[in-house]
Amino acid sequence: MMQMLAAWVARVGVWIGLVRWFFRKWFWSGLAWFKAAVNKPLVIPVPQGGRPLIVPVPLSRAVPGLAIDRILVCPPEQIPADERSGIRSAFYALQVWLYTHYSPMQAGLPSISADPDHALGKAFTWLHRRVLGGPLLPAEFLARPDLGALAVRGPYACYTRKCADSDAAWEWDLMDLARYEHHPGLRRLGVTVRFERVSNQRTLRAVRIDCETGSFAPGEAGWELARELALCSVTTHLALVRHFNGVHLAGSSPLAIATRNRLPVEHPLLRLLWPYIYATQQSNDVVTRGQMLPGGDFETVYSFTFDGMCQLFQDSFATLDFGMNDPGMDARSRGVLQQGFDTPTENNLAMLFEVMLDHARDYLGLYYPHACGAEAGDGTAGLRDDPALGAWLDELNQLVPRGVGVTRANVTFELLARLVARCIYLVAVQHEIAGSFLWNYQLWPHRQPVRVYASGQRMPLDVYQRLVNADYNLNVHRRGLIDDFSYLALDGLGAASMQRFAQRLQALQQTMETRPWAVWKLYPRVLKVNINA
Amino acid sequence: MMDSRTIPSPASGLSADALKNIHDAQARQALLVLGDGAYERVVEMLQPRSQAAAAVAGTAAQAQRPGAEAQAVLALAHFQLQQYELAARYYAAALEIEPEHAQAANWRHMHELAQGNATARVDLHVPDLAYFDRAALLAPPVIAAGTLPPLLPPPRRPSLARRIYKFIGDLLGVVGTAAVDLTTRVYGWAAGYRDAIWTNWYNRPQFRAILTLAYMRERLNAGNLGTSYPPGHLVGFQAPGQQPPAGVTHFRTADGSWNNLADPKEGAAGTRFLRNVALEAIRPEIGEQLLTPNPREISLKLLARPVDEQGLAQMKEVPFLNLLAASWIQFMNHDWINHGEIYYHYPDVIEVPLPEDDIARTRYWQTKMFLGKSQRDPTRCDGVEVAAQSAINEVTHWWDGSQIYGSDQATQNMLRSHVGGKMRLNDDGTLPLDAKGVEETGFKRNWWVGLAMLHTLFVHEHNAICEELLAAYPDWDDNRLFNTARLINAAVMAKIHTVEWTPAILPNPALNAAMNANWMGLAENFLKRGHERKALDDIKIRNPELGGVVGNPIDKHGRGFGLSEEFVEVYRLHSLLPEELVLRRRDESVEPERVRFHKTRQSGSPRITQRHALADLFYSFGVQHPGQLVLNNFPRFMQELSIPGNPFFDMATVDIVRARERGVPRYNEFRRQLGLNPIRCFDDLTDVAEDVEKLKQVYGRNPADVEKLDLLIGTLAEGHRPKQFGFGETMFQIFILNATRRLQADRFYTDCFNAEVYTPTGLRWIDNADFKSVLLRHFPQLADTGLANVRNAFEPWDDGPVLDLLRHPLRAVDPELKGHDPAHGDAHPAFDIPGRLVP
Repeated sequence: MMQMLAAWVARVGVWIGLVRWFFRKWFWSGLAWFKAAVNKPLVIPVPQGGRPLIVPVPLSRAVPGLAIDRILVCPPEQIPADERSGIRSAFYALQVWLYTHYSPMQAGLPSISADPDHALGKAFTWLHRRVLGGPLLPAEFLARPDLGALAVRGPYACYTRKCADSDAAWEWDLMDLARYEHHPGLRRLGVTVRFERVSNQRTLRAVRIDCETGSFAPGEAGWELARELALCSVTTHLALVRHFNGVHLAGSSPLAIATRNRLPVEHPLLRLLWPYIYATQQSNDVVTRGQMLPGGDFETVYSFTFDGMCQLFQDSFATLDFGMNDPGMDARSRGVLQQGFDTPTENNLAMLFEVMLDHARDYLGLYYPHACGAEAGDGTAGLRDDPALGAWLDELNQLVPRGVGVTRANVTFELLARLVARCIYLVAVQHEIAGSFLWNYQLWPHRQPVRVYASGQRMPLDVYQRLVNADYNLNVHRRGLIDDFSYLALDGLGAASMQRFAQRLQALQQTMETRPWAVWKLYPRVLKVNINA
Repeated sequence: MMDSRTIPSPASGLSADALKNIHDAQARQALLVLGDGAYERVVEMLQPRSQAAAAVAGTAAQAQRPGAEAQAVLALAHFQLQQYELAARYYAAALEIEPEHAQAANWRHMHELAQGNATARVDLHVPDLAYFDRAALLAPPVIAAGTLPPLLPPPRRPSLARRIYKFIGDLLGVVGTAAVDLTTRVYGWAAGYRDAIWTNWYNRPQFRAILTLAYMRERLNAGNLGTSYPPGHLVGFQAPGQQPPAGVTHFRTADGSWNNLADPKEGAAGTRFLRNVALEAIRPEIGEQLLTPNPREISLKLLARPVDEQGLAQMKEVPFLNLLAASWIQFMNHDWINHGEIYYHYPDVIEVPLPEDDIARTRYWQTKMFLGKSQRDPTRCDGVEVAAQSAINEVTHWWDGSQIYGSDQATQNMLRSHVGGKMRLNDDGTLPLDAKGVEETGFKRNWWVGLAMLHTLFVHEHNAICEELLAAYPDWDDNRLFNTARLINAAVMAKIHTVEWTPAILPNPALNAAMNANWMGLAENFLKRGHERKALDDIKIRNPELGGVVGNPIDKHGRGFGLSEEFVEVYRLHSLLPEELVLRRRDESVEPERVRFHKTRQSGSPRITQRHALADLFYSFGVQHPGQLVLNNFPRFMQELSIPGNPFFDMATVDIVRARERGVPRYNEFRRQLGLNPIRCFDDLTDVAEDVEKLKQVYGRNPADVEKLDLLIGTLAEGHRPKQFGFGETMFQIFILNATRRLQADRFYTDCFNAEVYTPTGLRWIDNADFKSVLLRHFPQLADTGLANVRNAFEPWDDGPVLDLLRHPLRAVDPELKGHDPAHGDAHPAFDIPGRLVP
């Protein structure tokens, strides 16, 4: 009798919990929808003079509560007036306040449905669909994912690197993630996946995974779990380290600070870079609070505890390499080109970068005419005696971890053009492939776990809902890279160059559209001009 | 090789004229010996000279070298001995010596054939030669303990909601069945289904067309389900009262036994083909009748593809299908039907005279073609048989994926990895090879690379299902995973065939709806879209038309299940095959490789899969077209095929002979048997005057001669077809009958198609599966090819934004595309605002 009563009470408890969850889910989904619905693509004004210097401070000072000293950012009080938005700041402050007073998380909820479509349908509601269509399923996720396919196609291709011990093996080395504290009940991340070439299929094949549970080959009993840990590790690294730490904090933020601080308003390079950096500080400030503070998206969605996450940011910041924004060079350095397997993502990224590099050469050639072309000699004319350019490079190299590879002393026309192309690639391509683009992968947790539970259970409703809402807000409508920014140019020549860039992007878009669209491909039309909402 | 010791001289009756163009005396002498079938003697006569010549270098040796004609005769002797590599070498030598010889074109042709045969090792029997054994066929089925997994505890009682849904479904079923049956019968009776000769369902609006099809099916079920077993006997002459072994209630057995718990061998491998015509209509043809009209003449005049000035065969293509549709139907056939090995020894050989002008006389130095007879049914019992003929099906009749799992336990065990339920695959994703260099699989007769691709694909699918099941049920062992995955995989194949392949080859809105109704029911088909459609929805209407055949109660229409000889005959679809394969890269970055079809057979297949990525092969097939099922479109390479034991074998001749030999009625009688009107003259058949004239030349001009018209020829000649139908209405009758029956008579698609047997994960997998998703699942590289652009993967994989609806007729009638421009390719989505994809 007592047992029956206890069971009945437990059942009632579950029902009450689900009723509470109903209201909570719709409140937070409504908030996500509201942010997406009211968000309008940023209007980028012509830069004005008289801008105060930004003096970066440690993240721990800019955002109290984040114990991260190594990362330098613009403090909120120094956010430039032309990009400051009181409404946005207030909204995010309210959101952070709600984390503790009406959290989107609720303990004790059941797991999401075993049917992926049903699970997504429940979380990605009709309200979400009023603004955005849902994520699309990559072909790789029609079965339990083939890591070899993901190693060359899609967002995780950037992790594929030739093994040091073999000329015929490649790997994803994400073992560092094992060092960080994770939530109780979850599996420890950190894996190494080893791939070998399948020559007759021109593909890679995962042949071994090392992880916390051991070392496994396909077909062995622990392989399935190891594969889940590999997928979870790679998506976690991409979202936290490569996207937020790499693109937002280690890349875009220093780029915006150096550009604002060191290039005068009439400098052609400022006019070129302006759309790509505008509003970065304001955006980074609010997004950092919303995602990184205790109770934020990162802590509640991914595997790491708040302390573990902070430590990961702290440690990984210094390892980030700006060279990752040059896809050809990056792919060569990782040893993945012309190795007897297809590299579709590398080809896709290289095409995009090529347009950006052409644009940088075209535009800079207008303002440094003696440094380019057949008569250019060593290609330095007008560059090394440009004090603003020198100061810009100095500050960039100081703020970007491990520098940008181009200094006041070695700058040439070609190096500068390539650096500018990398800056555009950083905010437009790297930010997209590691950010918004990821929702087509992450929102299928049956294939792509963002957490692996030690009990083997699926993700609880609240965690999945939060992931859906967070990725949903990454996809809000934003200013496209392909838009016309010629009004920002100093003169007619600069404006024409900017228009030619848009035309080249459009031409690439049209070329790509002659072939079938695929989830893994990045198209010029989906790229945004900067990282800011 | 045909046994040359026991058959008469292959070239007896060859005219003396044939020798007059041979100038080399030794070649003439050797040809006379060759004509007697003494191929080894020819080799003895000619080979020492050539070997000596080969051993001596220099000009003097060249002078001693045998002439081109002798080299060619030696080559032919080796060809007839199935020593194809040597044959190719000597034909090459003959051509080198006299490239302009009057016979050079023939030598070139034979050289190419010999090379291909050597590559494919067609001299080897694949599988090993074996004949049916009476004792084994009559033995009771044996399911060793532990072969099938033990049963799990019964599921919990359904929730109240489930019980209410079931009640509603049953109630709707009672009402719906009464309404559908009454409407079908009244409408069918009142409106009929045929005009003066041809059926007319396709001229009616969709709803009435579906009613007519349902009426036709009902008539066929009532009148055309016959057995070839004597009355009162169970299938395979099994003793009544056998007790079902453990596990057969929930899992398929390797040999297909125990699907029917009361008739253990119903549908099992090694049981008879049944019949769709009356017993008295089964008249196996023998003697002169068997060869009248001469089937080789029919092959040459009515079936052969025309050739262009260069001698290249001109295939009429089906513009709206890709080549996967051709390999798919052969893949399915191998699941359902095969007569097993043929005979190779006299007197079990049919001698087909070669017409006087037959080029094969010169090429093979034969006046007759030798075709092994079909195997006799060793289970026939004197005194009790009522059917004049019967034959054994080597494979299970059921739609159970036996082509990849095998039709016996030993084969199945050999194919399994015994780890995680999976089947064996090489590390590069290809199938393992056997000792003869051919892919290991459940059924590998008639093997070629198109089959290898599909077998590989569905072994991958099996393994993917195992992974999915293991994730959902981590405690399951290898055996349970394997057997459950097999059920699911077989259902995926059956679904693809039912709702995709059939509508693709017969693109018609009524038929499309009817085939979907077979799987999930009309209600689900018309009321839901995309992945919302489920075979077992919450409310399952208990009626096969409204709620679908699958998941509703089994119905055998009073007759045990088995596929029929008539079914075998209408699946002779060789005209679908092209003469060569064009093998491309997905990105078209290299020049396509053109491979003659015969080089892709047997061990020629893995040579291709080692050279070309499987994804590229699927792409190549996706953009190549099959041939039309019409007269004069039979592949030329199949009219000069070499099979193990027989270097010259015309498959077109065989197609004609087999129907006659097995007592399948000729065309007009076949139509009568199926409730169709016979044709009165050849002009009724088609409006193409040239075809009519050819038919008259072959069959005769007398009105009564239409009765001689062979079934295959009649069906290919039918010019009166529903618009864009891939084949004619006579074949279609057998399709109507069996497309439903294959599902409705199988316990695992009816009574046992439920979550308890298939698991919720399995049912979800089946609901979400289509051919496109199966291909993409295992070859995600194909996501940026034209495959992404089409809904039905049997359509040509055109990759542009605008699709020609003549090449994609199904899109125009696809209810899923309602509201969208059907000509707009699926892989070219719209962008509503910059950067935001409209899903």
